[in-house]
Amino acid sequence: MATTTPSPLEGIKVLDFTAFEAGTVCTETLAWLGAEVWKVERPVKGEAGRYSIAHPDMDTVGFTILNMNKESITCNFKKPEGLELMKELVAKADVMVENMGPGAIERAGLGYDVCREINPRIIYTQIKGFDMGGKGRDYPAFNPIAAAMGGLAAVNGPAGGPPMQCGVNVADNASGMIAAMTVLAAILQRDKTGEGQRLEIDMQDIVIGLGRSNWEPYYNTGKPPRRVGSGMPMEDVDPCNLFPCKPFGPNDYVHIYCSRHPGSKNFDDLCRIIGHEELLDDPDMATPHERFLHRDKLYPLIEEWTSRYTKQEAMDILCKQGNIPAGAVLDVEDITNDDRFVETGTMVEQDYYGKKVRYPGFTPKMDGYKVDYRPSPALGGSNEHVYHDVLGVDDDKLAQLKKNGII
Amino acid sequence: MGQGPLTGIRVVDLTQFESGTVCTETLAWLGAEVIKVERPVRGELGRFAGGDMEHDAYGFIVLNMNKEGVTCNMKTPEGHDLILKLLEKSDVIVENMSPGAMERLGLGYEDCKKVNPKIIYGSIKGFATGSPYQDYPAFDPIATHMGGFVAATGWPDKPVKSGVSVADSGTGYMLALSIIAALYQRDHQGVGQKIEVAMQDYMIGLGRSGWEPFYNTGKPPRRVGNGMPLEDVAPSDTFPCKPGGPNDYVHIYTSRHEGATDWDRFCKVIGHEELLDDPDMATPQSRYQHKDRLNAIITEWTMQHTKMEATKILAENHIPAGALLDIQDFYDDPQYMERNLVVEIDHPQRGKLKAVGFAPNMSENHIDYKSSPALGGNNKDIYQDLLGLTDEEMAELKEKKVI
Repeated sequence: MATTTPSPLEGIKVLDFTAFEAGTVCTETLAWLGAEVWKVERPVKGEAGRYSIAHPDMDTVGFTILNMNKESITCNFKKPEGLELMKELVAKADVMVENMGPGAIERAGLGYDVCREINPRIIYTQIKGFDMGGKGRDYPAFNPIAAAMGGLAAVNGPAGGPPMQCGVNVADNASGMIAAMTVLAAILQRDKTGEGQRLEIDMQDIVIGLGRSNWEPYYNTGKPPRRVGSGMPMEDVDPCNLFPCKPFGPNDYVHIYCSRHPGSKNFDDLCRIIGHEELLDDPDMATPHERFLHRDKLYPLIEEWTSRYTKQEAMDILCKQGNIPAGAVLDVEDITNDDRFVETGTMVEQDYYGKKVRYPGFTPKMDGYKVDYRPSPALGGSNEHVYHDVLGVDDDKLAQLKKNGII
Repeated sequence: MGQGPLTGIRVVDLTQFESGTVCTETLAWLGAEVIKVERPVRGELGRFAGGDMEHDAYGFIVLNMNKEGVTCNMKTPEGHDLILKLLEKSDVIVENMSPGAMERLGLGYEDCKKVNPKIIYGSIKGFATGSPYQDYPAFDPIATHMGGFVAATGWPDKPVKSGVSVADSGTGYMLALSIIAALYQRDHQGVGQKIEVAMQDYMIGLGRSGWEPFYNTGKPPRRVGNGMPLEDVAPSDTFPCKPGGPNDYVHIYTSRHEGATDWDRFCKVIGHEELLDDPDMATPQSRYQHKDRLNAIITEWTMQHTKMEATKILAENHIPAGALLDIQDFYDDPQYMERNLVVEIDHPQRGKLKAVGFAPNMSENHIDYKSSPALGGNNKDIYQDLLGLTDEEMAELKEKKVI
């Protein structure tokens, strides 16, 4: 499909007060879908996530990953003139998004009541750690807190051992993405009703929603789901685990699961592939549960086979010769170095201070729209466009706002 | 039914298990009319996931709220014809079958576009079409291993997978997002389209902040258990609480940022102000070097409190702390029902039960939660009232086990 296709969100304007990950993922998703996103940052230093002590003159990699396709404007809206500029932009925007600490946007004079008064069509979007009307509304929150409070950490970790956090910011990232989805739904609704609305996306709640299939074992057993390491959460069956592969680095493992469903040929195929057909006549290996009880006998035989291959080779053989669900433990480096991900658009190539880098892009493939990726903006890089072209502020006034540290 | 953002949108739902059903359930909660199509007699595989053939599995009920159910054997010419007729009157079709299955049924994008050029066709796959893995079997754990998630989770010497099906559920939401964007695009530009979301690709995107440490260090992000992934600092860990059950823990982190006063407040709260003058405890990094001594002091304090008490005390002093909550906690605490995150539904077989509803709050979307449909429970509404089949035609289709 030609890149000249108009984007899905052609003409939608987003006033973006987000920082760090949860909020920036939301507005980046909207930007990738074609919205014009005005990212508002502090004059001089910009968003807190731009800056690092190690390299104060460079934008952090994290910032450039999370703020592609946006425009940046600077504004000190704690000053009356700055606040006035923001209110003028509220009047021109379709969507506003913020993920500040509890109460901060209201104290800044840009609460929902104020914004709705200015623009009844605004989709006013707040991403918080905890529900603003709930018990934890004033508690500090960030990704691991929401993961712990959302039921995610309780189900991660070894059987009988302590719980464990995820190494990916599930709460932040998924909240941002679900916020973007909700914004889109509200835009569709506005097309019919003419009215905007307030949206609130709470990270704790998003994590609870993500884990809702765990209500199945909860109702079946009357207890919260157990932790099972890399095992099968629903039932004690085997093989279902990680097995080490050549050359035995920290991420050289393959996950192998043989279906527990009656009639599955996975285990037969596995025995054949690893050269241990005698297991098929072994009563200790007769059922998935028997295999779990005798895993100490089974695992060394599987490991002996996986140790002969790299994780990718092991996966290829198991999937191609046996249709056995197997997954290599890929890490960020594996994904970056595989050109195919760039070819399919899962990864996009960007320039970072003269160096070519690859970042994840917009995951879905839409055949009616192809994202035209642009790097994260320079601080205040769109001041001229937004303040002058959109708001009609003249050159003298712009110079004066800059001189007074407002923009 | 109240007016939602997607009121008036009709979705033909050929999904099963979790990733696809999360997508269509989300569309249903946003107001779309979702028609779930299932095999006659036995229905979707997920209805009987637990092996109990008499009762719908709880997992099925949780994932299929607010949908209508029809039965159809799409492999018969009559059944195939019914689906095409339904597509003429629909806006969206969603499926998460194995690769090639829809095409074999004569319901690939090209087939569907012929009867409805503006259809939004949403597909979920484990691996992207065109990927070298496209024909490999895939389900949630495979996508999390292949998507960089497991490599980042666990102890330094051993990865571990997550107990939440992040790849399934997350991909479902991502497809719902794309479908809504495509509906908006259709309304304004007059085009339908095909959307495919691969679970592996979704997981890669979910972990995109992991590229920051990767480019800074030249290595994939480390695994740090419950520690701080970006830097070795303390305290950042999960500490045991009273009464010492498997889920009695609290996660505590004090900011490593210059000028943060979390640590000072923390020492006062736990009654160990002497640590403020202790050179071993002077910086987040030095505290990490001496974390065995520090964690023992913290554990002594956390063990005097339940996880909720510890969370309250710390959070009210603006120290980031989160109790390790589990499903029992959400079930028992009335606040989740009061604010409509946990909702009560009445299922004809299972009776009243609590399930999780739509997590975002929308001031103008008031969801009327309904239980998952009975198998073929809406055959009459859809086939007769919508498609105009006669009583005789219905009886014949039923007799032939087409519906």
